[in-house]
Amino acid sequence: MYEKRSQKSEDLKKYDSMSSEELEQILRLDVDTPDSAQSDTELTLYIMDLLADRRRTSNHNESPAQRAYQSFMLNYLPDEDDTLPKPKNEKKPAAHSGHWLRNVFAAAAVLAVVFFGTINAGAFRSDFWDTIIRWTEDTFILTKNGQNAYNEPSSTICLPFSSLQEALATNDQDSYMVPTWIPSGYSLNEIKVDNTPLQNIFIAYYEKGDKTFIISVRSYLKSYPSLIEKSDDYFEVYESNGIAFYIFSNDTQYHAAWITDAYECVISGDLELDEIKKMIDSINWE
Amino acid sequence: MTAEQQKQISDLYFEMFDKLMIYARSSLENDALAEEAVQETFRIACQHPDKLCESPNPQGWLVLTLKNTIRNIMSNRASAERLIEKYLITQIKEISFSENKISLEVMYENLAHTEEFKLIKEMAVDGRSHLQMAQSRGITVSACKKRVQRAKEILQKELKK
Repeated sequence: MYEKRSQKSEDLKKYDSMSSEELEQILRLDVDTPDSAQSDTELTLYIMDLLADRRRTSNHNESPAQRAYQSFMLNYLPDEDDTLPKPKNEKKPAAHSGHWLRNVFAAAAVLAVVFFGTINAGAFRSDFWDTIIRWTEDTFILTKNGQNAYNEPSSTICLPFSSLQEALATNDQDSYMVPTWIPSGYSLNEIKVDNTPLQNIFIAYYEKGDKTFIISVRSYLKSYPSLIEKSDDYFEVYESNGIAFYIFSNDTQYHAAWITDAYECVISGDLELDEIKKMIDSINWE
Repeated sequence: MTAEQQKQISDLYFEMFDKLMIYARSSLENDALAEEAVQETFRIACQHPDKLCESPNPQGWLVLTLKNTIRNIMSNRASAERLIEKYLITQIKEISFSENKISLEVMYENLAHTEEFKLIKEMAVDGRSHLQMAQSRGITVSACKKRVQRAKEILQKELKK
């Protein structure tokens, strides 16, 4: 039977001192455990309870269970005749409000372009699919306020860094692959950081009046195939310092993308083509 | 479902939702997919209320059901990704090699205009949940699942040509 933590056995106490990442890894391994093998449900429930307690302690926001319950009744309940009791303190769902980042990405339909990127260290990935580079809107939208309909990270935070380089250095990441020049008139609005066991994502937001652009840097610990979308208007492989940068348009905006051994970088937004190329040329690679 | 079963499932929902989300999120790449797995688990519970409510360990029953749901989600996405890869290979228009550096550029025919391709790509590549895809199309989750299945069948037929 499932035991509450107040009745925990000595065997389970050892998990109290483990980090949340270690506990999540145990849960991840449990999914992979075949049903025929020994899967300890009591342990799994204990770890879930432990992690939930930690999150309640560190995060005072209301549990999403209330909202999810309403969504369940609306979208998932299998039989129209069936019903569940209404949630306590039923509230209207929060209105979906836009984030200015959405203005950076046009919603136009695009042609898909899949291509391989040059890795600056000269290493060649012989596997066909290992070197396809993929970006979608999902890769860049990392807001935490519920407006993101795609990948919502579990721990996006906004920190008062003075530059993208500072944000990267503070998080023990390299910064050699980001531009050192920004078009005149733009100022850094904020930098969002999302760190998970598998990847670190940094997004710097710049503004000039009603114009905006972002520089995003994603470091990844394991590679996976990627897909870039573009429109039919413009596509160029721009070489700078021996590195290939892929510049393309999507509706009215230009985007530039490049990869290194461990990073994927993108510039995207209300920029002119020559501004993007000048930013690219300003990368030091040291 | 009896009224008692409805109450029990509802109570379990609020007791277990956060914990099941933690479990699902440990294996699935984003909160939307994790929530989909949890919602699917409770949907299955509502379809089999006797099994859940009469279980000596309802919480454990939910965890095991969630585990299988997660595996199904991952398996479906993996097979859809393989389908996308095979489909993309058949659509290659031109490949050019650069002499001095190891880089390839592959241009494709019009791909994204096909609804089937978009649907499978959103699921396999973009990591969107059925709920997200359904909401963006103004259809129900159930209708979206059917469209995804139909889209897979259409792409597979294209491959056989």
